[in-house]
Amino acid sequence: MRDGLVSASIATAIMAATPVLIAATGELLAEIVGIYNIGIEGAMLIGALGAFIGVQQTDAVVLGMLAGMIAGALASLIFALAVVVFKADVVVGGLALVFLGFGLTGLIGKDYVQETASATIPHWDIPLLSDIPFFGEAFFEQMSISYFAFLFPVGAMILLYRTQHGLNMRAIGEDPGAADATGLSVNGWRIFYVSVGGAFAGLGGASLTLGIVGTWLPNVTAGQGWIALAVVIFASWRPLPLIAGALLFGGLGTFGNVAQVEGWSITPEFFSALPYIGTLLMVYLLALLRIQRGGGAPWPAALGLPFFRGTD
Amino acid sequence: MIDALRTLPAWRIERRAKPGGGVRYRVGSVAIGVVLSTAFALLVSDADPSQFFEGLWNSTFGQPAGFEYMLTLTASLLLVGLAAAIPLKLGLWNIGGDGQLFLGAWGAFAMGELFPDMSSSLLIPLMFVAAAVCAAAWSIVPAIARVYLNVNEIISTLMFNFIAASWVIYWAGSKWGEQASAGSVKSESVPEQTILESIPVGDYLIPISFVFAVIFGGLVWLFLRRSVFGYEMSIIGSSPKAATYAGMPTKRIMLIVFALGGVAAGLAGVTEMLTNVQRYGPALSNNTGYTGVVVAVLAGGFGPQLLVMALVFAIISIAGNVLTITGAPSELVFAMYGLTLICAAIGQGLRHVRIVNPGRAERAAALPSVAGAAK
Repeated sequence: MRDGLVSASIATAIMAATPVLIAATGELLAEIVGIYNIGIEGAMLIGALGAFIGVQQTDAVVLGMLAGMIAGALASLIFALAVVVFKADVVVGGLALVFLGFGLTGLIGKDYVQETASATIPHWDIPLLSDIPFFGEAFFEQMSISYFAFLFPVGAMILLYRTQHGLNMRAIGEDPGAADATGLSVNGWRIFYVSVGGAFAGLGGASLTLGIVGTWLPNVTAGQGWIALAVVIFASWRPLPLIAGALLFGGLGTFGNVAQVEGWSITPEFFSALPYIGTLLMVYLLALLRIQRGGGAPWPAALGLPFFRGTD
Repeated sequence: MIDALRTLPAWRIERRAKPGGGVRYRVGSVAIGVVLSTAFALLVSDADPSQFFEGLWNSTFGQPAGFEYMLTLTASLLLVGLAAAIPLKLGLWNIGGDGQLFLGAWGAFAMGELFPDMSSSLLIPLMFVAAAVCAAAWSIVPAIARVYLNVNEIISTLMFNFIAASWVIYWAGSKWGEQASAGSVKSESVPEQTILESIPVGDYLIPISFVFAVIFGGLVWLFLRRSVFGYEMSIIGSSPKAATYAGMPTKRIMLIVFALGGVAAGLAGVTEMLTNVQRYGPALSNNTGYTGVVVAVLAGGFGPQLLVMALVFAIISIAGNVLTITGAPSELVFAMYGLTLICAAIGQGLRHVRIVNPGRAERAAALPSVAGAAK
């Protein structure tokens, strides 16, 4: 019984971590090239609805996810153009994206509220591994997208630290002037990776509507885009720790369930706040440890600063 | 034809040596944003424009009830606008207005619970003080994390909003809940003597909350303009390094400024609770704290323009309400905010750049031949 609860909780934590992890990976790519997109929550919502509409139109879950990615990428592209080309403030532009995402999805999605998705993301039982007692149920009977989600940060690590392309990305985030001098188009790379980040956010949203929730609800993300931003900070802008951050958030979210089963007399509101409290506390704790060790700022040096080519 | 294409201008965006035309760009971009978002809203909601504008007029300036409501909304937006605008003077983002608003209202409601029979002349000030203290305490944690741990205050204040959302449900539902109420979570009513009335002026009614918000904002504004503290603040805002070298207590000032922002949002919570909602619960804010950030950003600084922007957004918000009557979803108004905001953000950004055409001189010289080729 206890074993069953633990393995089910682990499985739930992995499921709940999936959208956050996907969105956080995308956000990391955007922040590595120097743009923090605090509008990721908006891109995620737009992706979530785009995916849902895509599935209702085509009955194919892959096309739905693709639609979600495109929707998220386009939304972030608008943000990227405003910020990179027209030098709009990143925070204001990001907030605009959040408001637009919330407003537009509320508007367009009103005919889809609580409709059942015509196709949902399948669960994959990994052969052999899923037969292992306890571990199989906990780790290897997940939504298909979850397996990919946990590979994305690994892919990001290889891209960023093992390829010339990734070196260029980091150079653009650290010192855009020098990167520009080597012939890289700083604005082009930034626009591209903010859009890629939006596509990831859209896929994260898709994994909510087509996977976890199975329907469209207004504001279905309920702040998971913001959590993705916190997870990037938690991970100190490195790819692999994103997994720990997302699992922390997902894991804390399962305690409400556990409390119910175990009959703990703690109010459910505490458990709904717990993922946010826990994630924030961990971010604070890690920041404290870093300062005590005398470490420098972990983020890319040019993060959030507009880039102007030359000065004339 | 090919030659004509070759001589087409190569538009380029260049940095301006000095950002120009502050007010012009700001007013212009906000105006464009408001017009665009209104047109967009009318288009998507299939509303009849003349009916819409008539409804909007009646719900704002045209009729006393609408006017009164508009001003209560303006009061809330002015206060949450202050909550964002004050820290923004130091380049700090307070996105936590929503949470601070809920904590302020919580402190005030707790006073009402503790002293339900106290006379209004004592209880109301007590509620305001409690609101200020609770909201300041709530906002100081992200400020400490920002100042001493270098943790981005945007994320911190946001997380605090989500924590506050659970806090509200707990208190409004489990602790102070009205058993009879179905559906939305809300507490029982605040003590009757604490409800803020309106002051009649001719046919119209001016809500006390509005008067309070304007006086509070005005006092803070004067204080920051006239005091040493305000002077130090402006130095820190423009050049933190210079301020530190001059021996100013930069960190302490940042904390106080953030707390002051929290106080403003907390006061929005108590005025809203004692004016419109009269209960404690999630209904106290319809993303009001977030709208406050928009108000502060579009006002582009701390001054009387904040009041103007609060009024503009009260009217946009009412426009959203008018459209929901004809079937538009309540989220529509946030799309309008978003559109206005992105226009304003682009407008602000364009102040720093100039769109130039390096080939203008050559093109002018070649113009006759280009025109000839195009024909």
